[in-house]
Amino acid sequence: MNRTSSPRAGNGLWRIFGVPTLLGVMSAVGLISALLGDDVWDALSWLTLGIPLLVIGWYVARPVRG
Amino acid sequence: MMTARTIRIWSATHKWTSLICTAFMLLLCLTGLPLIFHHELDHLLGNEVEPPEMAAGTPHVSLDTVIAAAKAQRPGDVIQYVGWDPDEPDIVFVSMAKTVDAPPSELKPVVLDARTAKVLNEPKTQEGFMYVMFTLHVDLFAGLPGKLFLGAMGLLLVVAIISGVVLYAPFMRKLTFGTVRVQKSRRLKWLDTHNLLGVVTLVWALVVGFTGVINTWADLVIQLWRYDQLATMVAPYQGKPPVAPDRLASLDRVVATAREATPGMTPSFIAFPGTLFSSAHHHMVAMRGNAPLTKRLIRPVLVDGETAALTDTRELPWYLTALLVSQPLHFGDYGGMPMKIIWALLDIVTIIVLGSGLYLWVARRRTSVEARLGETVEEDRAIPDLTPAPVALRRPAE
Repeated sequence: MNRTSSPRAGNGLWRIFGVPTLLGVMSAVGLISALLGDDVWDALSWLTLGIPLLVIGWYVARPVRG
Repeated sequence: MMTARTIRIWSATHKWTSLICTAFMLLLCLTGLPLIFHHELDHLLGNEVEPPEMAAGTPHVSLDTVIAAAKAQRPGDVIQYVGWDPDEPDIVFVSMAKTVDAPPSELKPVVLDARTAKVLNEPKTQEGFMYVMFTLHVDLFAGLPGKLFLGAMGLLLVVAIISGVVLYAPFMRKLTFGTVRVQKSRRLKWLDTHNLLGVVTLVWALVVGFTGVINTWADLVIQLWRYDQLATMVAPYQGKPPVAPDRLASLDRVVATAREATPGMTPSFIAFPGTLFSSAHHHMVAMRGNAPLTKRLIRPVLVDGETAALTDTRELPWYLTALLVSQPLHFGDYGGMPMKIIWALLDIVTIIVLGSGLYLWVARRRTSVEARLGETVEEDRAIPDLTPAPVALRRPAE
């Protein structure tokens, strides 16, 4: 995530898509878990679907200066 | 990394698919917002009732008594469907119409108490705010063509999302995740916001978008089931006259037959003979499971409408299973109130992505993608460029 890290081809893609991939996997887990069960499964879904929203809130409230 | 040509193609794809579908997607996001909370809003608007308080475990009267009460409420109408809400077992929903083959838009629901056979409510389903929101969302008041049109717009959205993700890479090549350049220009601020919000909600938007598309095919999929599976199951009845309404078997016996054929399952709804989900000679009892996932899936049991004897039951084909699984994933109604709130917030984020995308097109439609990428690179000039970037990524000479 460091801006000064070496942006070489392969690891450049990972640098760009690392966080989005992680958030995407989380969303998928959340979408599926509440289908599979109630209680704990629902709670897992709220957590994993809620985190992307928190991430948006974080970066919009405290923008990284580019 | 991508060549200039590939970037141009993806950029054009993103621009055109988005431009065509954005207006409709904004409409779907706005009308979808109240629909997420339709259960709560229906209560508020008085279109839904709670069963009156009675001692827990009060036994249910016979189904025949319940449907007799419904018929007394709407003399002259016939019953098309009888159904239950898994969360309100003490309520029976009876859908009636002038004829058994009247279209769904002409169905008149009667809500009854399963313990007393008292009519609780006759909700108006064809008027009011929620009806307008629902119909705009489902078919734009244009029936099946409207549904299929919105489905096509949904497919364009899916392409727009995928092309947007591909373009995210060259735009973010020199930026840390989450960068929003608030001080450079309004357009750059919204470009970064569009990219951030879009990529973070990517999986949710793809799933809700594509399951929405699947839902637009529901009518077609049901017809497919009628020709594919229902027709073979009721083949022995071909050529027989339809069951006369006054010769219908006891509904309690019909349900007993279905329960016997599918041990451990619970009736979800019953389609009467002559309706969309049955044949002219059969009750179709849709049995559901009881686990969180299986209670949304059904197994159709065909019961002779006159004798209440079992005719056939088969596993639901994959295309109907796919439709039933895609529904909760589109509605967001399977994880309680917190999930509905999350759904609503993600819907609002999607509205911002759509709106900012439109703004970016209006504000800068005369520059090429190279110029826009160049701008991204230029503002990061302080960092030495170590990559052998494609020529097009470098800022065009001024």
